[in-house]
Amino acid sequence: MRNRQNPLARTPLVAAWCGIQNAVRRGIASCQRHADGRALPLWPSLSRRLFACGLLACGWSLRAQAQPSAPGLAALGLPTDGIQIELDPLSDTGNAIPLGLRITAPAGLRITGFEIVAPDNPVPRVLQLRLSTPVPEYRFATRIRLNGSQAVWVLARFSDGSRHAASAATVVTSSACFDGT
Amino acid sequence: MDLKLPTRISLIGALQAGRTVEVRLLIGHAMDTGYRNDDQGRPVAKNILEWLRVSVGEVALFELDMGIAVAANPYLSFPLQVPPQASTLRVQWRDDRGQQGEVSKLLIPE
Repeated sequence: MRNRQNPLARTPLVAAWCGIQNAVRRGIASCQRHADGRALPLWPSLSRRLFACGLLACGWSLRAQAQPSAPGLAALGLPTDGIQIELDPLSDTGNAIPLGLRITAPAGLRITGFEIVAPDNPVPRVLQLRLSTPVPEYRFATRIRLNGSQAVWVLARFSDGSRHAASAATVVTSSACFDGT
Repeated sequence: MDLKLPTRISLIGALQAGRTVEVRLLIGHAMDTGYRNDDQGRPVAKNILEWLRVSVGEVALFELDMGIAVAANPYLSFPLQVPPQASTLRVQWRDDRGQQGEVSKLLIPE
């Protein structure tokens, strides 16, 4: 895997920076046009543009949340109880990290499935499991790849459609997304 | 379209009807991410197992969708309630090129 930055992650910053540059350029241009002493439209123009940039940035942030990103998952504010994640705090290699989980459904509910998400991976969705017969308790273990140190999330789905989500952080000393060539 | 893979299925615990045992499933597959280059510097095409179903007899236990973040030679551990009579534990898979395969193991309660 090649180490790739998620372009969405930087977009609000980039958009804001481009907007500022553009505004300043336009402001300077209008300064040159109105050099006869009329009111300089630099600041109104700048603030309008910054406002637009802000809107744009907000739009991008919302769009980023539609993907399983780390801030997006945290912002969901889902209950964390009933999910235990077994993940060593230090992983020697990102290529095969043992991950265990134990999900206990709230009283009266059953587990219909779960999802493992590594938000900082190039493809955040690690796996998704759908149980054919919902159960009150489930244990599962596998080995996953991680791009780098991050919090790994487990989202559990219950029979009434509700979800719980919990995360466990691990430090990865060597990324699975390292290309030696 | 037949994808044969080496597998190992271990059952942890006494195989008594009604009891829950742990199934450990190991499937030999490179799970190439598509981001890696080979020794000559040529990119290695993405090739992963993207779907897997485990069933006992005709009854499915679960379906699994996997991404590139599942480690090479996927290892899965999950619980299984031992059925009262002899039956077959069946694991079916499909990779991202549409090739399918399966393996089964006989479950005979003690």
